[in-house]
Amino acid sequence: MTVPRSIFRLLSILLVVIGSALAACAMPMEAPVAGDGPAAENQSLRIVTTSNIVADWVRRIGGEHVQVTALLLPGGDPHTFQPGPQDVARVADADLVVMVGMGLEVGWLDQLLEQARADQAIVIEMEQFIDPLPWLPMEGAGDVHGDEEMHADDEDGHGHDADADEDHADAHGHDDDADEDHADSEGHAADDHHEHGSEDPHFWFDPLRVRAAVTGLAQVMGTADPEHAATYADRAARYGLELDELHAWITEQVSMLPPEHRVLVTSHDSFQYFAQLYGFEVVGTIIPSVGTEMEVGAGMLAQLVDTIRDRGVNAIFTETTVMTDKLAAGIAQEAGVAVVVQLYTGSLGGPDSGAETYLDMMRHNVETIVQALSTQ
Amino acid sequence: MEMLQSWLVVPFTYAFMVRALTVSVLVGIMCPLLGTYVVTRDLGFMSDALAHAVMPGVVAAVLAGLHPLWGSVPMAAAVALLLGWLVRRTGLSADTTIGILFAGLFALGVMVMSMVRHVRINLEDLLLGQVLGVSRMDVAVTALLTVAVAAILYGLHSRLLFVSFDPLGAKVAGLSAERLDYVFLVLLAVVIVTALQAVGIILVVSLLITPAAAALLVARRVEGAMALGAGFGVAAAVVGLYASYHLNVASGPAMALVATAIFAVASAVAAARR
Repeated sequence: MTVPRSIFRLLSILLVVIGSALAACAMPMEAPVAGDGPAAENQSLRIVTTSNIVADWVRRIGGEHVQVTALLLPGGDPHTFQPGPQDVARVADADLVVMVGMGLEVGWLDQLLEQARADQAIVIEMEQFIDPLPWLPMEGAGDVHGDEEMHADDEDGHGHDADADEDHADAHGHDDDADEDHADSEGHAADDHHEHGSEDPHFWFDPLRVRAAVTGLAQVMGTADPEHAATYADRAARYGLELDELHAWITEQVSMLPPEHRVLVTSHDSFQYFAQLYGFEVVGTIIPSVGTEMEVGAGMLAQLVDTIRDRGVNAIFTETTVMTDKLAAGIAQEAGVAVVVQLYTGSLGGPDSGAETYLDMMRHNVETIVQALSTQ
Repeated sequence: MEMLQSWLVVPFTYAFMVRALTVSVLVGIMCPLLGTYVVTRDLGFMSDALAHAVMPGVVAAVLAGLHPLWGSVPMAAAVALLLGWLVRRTGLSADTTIGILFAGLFALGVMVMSMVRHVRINLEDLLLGQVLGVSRMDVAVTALLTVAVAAILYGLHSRLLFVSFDPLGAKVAGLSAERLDYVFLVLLAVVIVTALQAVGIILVVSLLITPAAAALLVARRVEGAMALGAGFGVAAAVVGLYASYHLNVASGPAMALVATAIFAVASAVAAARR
């Protein structure tokens, strides 16, 4: 019995450790331990985004005044992202959390962010700045969101004003925790009323909607950091001009394609905004959903092959963030499609990909699409 | 020293980490308590199967807009009862029956998920657990269930032990092994479903049987093994969460790996003593 007894002793030591850890949470602490930046950078606005595309916009608007982190690394799929504890901690630490919304950050990630946000932070969804396209399958039922809405109201109770500045200046206020009272210093800038699954989240394929989103983003950032509000608005406006240019350039590129060639087959249903704006038709997708986590049925694939043959589609566009390469190759072979190329859709590309920023990603995609579809 | 202190303390300056720790520790205590019986009665495969079989229940609950527990607890209880019944009434072996039921139900769960388009459920969270997202409500429910399970086990302990080690003697003594088995299976279902939050469907056995088995290797009495197992479970939860935080890796697998490491050490100790 010697072994168990010594282990019991070990156990009690362990319990003391846990206990002191728990106690420490309740104790006020001086050091800004949980943040990522050194103390000197405390003034800068800490922003966490889910999408790295959105992070790119924030970087353009905020520049040196913000520290922006995207939870998703380049190439990560926003639909199926699995955050680690430090990711959640970043969310809890952030002054501002920017989500895309419209169901992009799937069910349980929403919940995760919700729980982290209970600790901290203002959460906004890009959804509120744009006019989303509906996404079709809405067959009744599934009102998962009733209680979510209630939760939102509940939080409104904690005060709505983003008098964020001073409260954040005293840095890492959350270390001295005490949940509730803390919440009223945090303000809840955005109202988050949304119906998931009925809207298409992939609005970034429309540069004009992106301009609206960027403008809204700059406003929210300005509210959180009034000192630099003018700078943010200014930069957003300048970026808006670049977006207009991008739009003009895409329009010109696409005009090289005869209208009957403007057909898209993609990994999942992510190109509706693009299609609507530039006169394309999405004739089929490998995963028949705006999400990527669905299992593909055999009947649907057969149908897709038929459609591709009927419409004389000559290219299938796979997406870097969606694992459909094998399926795409099979479909291409079956339907006699010549070209299978990859687009950046849910995530920016890594270094040297030519799609490191939003503008580059769009240009890369459009060039790829035009090239693929013009080789008929 | 200061570094060690901040290494230990920093993760739990976050309320979500404290909630995750609370749920993990509770699960770490509750699983080996029951797991000790599971190991002594050779029900490891059965537990794994139960965990997989609750899939359709979870999906149904989410579709109905309810907390997953509302679907998974009744589902697991129903499956457990059905299993017990089938094993008793058909001539098939327990393993075969379990295999058939669990694969079939798991397939049903995945199929329903692929048919439903308007509600998105994260399959990975379901399979591997996502304790970082637990709410205060989840913490409260877990605490309640832990206390309930521990109390019931305390009350039934001598009878469960009797039936486990001496089924014939128990029968002679007039104990209804059948009814006790059903109660036990329902308890097992509840524990598994609670543990799903922390480690998910695939890894749930790692908390249920691994710490308990490790404890049974080094302890002499069943009661000692239960206490020691709970200690191992807590250690797996705590160390696993720290590892998960500092390496920024998924929490469920981290806890499962720590439990496995504890088992490795325990089996080495047991072997050395022989």
